Amino acid sequence: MTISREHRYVAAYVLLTLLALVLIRVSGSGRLVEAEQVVPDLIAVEAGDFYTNTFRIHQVSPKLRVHMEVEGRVSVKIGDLTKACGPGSCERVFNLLGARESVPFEIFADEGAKVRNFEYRVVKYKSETTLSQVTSSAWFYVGVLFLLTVAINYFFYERKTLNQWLLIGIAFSLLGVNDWLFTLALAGFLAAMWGLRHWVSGDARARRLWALVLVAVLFLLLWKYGKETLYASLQGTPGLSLFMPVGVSYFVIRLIDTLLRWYRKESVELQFREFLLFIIFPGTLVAGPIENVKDFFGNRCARLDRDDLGYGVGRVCIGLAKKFVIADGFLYPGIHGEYGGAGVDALILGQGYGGGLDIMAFAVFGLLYAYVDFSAYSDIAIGASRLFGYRICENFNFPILASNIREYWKRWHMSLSNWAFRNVYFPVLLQTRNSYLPLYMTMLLIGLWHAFSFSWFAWALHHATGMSVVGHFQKWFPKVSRSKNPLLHWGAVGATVVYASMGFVFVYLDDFSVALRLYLGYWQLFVPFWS
Amino acid sequence: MTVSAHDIAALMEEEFGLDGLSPESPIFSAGLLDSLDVLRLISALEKTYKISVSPVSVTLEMFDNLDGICGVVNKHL
Repeated sequence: MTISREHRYVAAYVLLTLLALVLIRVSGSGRLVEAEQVVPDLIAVEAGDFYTNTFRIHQVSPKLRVHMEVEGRVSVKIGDLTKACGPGSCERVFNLLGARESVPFEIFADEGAKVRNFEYRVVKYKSETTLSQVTSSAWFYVGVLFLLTVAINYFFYERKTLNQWLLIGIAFSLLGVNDWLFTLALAGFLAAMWGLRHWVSGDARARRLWALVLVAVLFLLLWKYGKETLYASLQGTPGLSLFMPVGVSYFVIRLIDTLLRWYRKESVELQFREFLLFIIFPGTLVAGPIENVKDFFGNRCARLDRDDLGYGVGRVCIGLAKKFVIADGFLYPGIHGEYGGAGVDALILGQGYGGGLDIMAFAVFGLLYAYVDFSAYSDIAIGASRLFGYRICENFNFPILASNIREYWKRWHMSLSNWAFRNVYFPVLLQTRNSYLPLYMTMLLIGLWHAFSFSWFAWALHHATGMSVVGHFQKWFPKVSRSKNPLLHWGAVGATVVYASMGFVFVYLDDFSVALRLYLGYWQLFVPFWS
Repeated sequence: MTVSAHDIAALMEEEFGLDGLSPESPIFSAGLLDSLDVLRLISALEKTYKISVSPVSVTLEMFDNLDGICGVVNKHL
């Protein structure tokens, strides 16, 4: 069998990705929680005394798994949470809420006790979504700023240039308050990219295009994973944040789409102001949807009238209700087993759960939570954008009603799927002339865009394989796949939810060993002889 | 040599059995062909007109009607 040149490229890409993941794992970089002082192998705590140290945390609300060997009885306090540990091996899960950069932890004992081999691992970097963590005072300031922006935008809407600079100013202010150095770096980077638009424009300039795409990816990796190293010598400088910059993944993905358009000689006449606004538009700053530059400006309302304002307010309210009532109020407790099942923390520890059904309960609730939560963010973004006068594309179309995993991906995070289809799947399809390799490459890129981790790598393989199998099934059994039988249809819908929820295990758990254990445990429900 | 919408219409009929397409009627967005059929279409175009389509320079939207396909072929001739 001969392997074509294109297939070798794809194989090299997959192997290099794996190698990079292994290197990151081995080097320990990307570790977002560490103790300020080295934790000794043996901690002896006198009666009524305590041992103290501090975790440095650069991620919002991480979930920690703590393990230790205890002689006697101790209590472990991390942040505001205290958990007791009896004699012997002890494992506990701590959900640290909030965005604090340092969290004190203490081990104390009423009577004398010894703790050996105190270990901790981050099993999930972000156990709560950002909006759930917003404090009441932050709500007030963001709310006032938002209403002021909407009002000023409304009155100056006809003056397009002024209006667009206002929105750019608001976006840069929000970013600047969080981290002024990143904001400056971003502004300079975007100015340089815009300045090079003619340099990449034209069919004979593919190398230049790939060079700029690579620079954009490196910019993303630098700010997503290298910020702690980058800021190491700037400790104590006011106005800097060690947290990952808000929206940086979305800025880069929009930029890459625009670079490809410039290469195809589209949108080359874009003004600098328009380019900036498209990349950092405040309505979609935090979490998309991912518009393309042509539709973004093409769908700007000619006039901003009461209907637009009514639609925008209504959509924002729907999003807030979905987020706080359905997602946080109803579905989130399901992840923690409050309606039955062991709950995710017990599953992480691997103690006291009955098997696949417990994993399924967690994963299905988790998938539904992720769907309602993310679609709520999209509703808010679409509503807020309309208040600014921009009609933004939809991001979800009831994916949980899809009857197969291919259809699911046409309904879930549609703006990202469309981006990936345009910029990855289609070019790779033409390059390799193979129908399956582009699928795997696209899903790998989507996965690693979310996070450069083994969990997202496995998630990508899970979904790409599912789509490949469905593709074969549809080819081999066209009558069954086109059947209108309602029983068959709803059975397929259920199977799709189950399959997507299997992949969700990797989305939820950043600790790959735990995620893989639960994923395989989930499969045992359907393949009982496999143990 | 310039390729016309009429030439492409003949090719579409021969390759996919699609007849009666007007120069602007949607093909992929209307579901007449899916994204995998584009491979067959491009192979047919490359073979018929002795061209080589560059992967990054085209998008699926460019193949969505006869006029668009003409544009792609003429650009690569």
